[in-house]
Amino acid sequence: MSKASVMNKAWIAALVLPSMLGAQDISFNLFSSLAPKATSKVEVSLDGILLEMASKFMDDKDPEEAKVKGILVGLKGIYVRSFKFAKPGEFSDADVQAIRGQLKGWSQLVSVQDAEQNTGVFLKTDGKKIMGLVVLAVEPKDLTVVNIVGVIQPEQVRDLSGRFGIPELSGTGKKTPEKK
Amino acid sequence: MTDFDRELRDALQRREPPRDLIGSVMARLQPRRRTPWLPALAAIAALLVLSVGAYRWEQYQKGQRAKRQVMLALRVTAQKLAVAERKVSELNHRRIGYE
Repeated sequence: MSKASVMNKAWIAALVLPSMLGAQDISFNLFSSLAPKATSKVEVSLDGILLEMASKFMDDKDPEEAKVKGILVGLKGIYVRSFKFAKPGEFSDADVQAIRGQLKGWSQLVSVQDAEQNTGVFLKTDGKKIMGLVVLAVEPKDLTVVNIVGVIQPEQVRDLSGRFGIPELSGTGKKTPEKK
Repeated sequence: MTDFDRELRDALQRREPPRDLIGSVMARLQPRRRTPWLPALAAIAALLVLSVGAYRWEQYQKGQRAKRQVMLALRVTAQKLAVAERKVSELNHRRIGYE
């Protein structure tokens, strides 16, 4: 292969790859290899345009939909991968670490680790505002990653969980001590 | 001959019709020709209406699909956050119990 051809391919990759990654903060490439082993999957990829479109179809009279519409206002994307497996061991710690590794520089708001699960809630902030949220939930037969991209209000995070008691949320840089 | 007779004779005198009389009468009798571009215009208008309708229907379907996806994504998020919250809450209760 000539040097020019390699350079051309590199340019094409440089142009195409960012658009393939979209607005999401983390790469979901890992899930492509896990997909064949999963018994059930939830895969959602919504960019800003689709969120705006969805927002237009939310019914203001429906309390749940009205609340969701409020959440969508500042968002640029919602990406979810939630895979269930028939038996434990279908994904490795290294797989989970590969996802965690992409969250360097993020504030870990919550970390729950016990025999059944390992859940982390991570926030990306610009000092004042929450600019992104990642939920990484790992169970023996279940792997879920949620990436919400864009400005989200602390009370909206609380709304999402129903009644998520996170008093530290206003000081977004503060970490919850890890529970083991 | 009185003036009246003269006027009467002039009025009843045979006169030749204009040369183009037959042509002009026949032209008036013929049905008006349809404008040739009208059916084409109607077809274009119909096509336009159909295209706009199809586009709006597609947008509606896309919007509904996006809405379902948003609700699903937020449900998954809420579920995972709620599980984490429950765990944190349990650990806090245990800690309070120790103290």
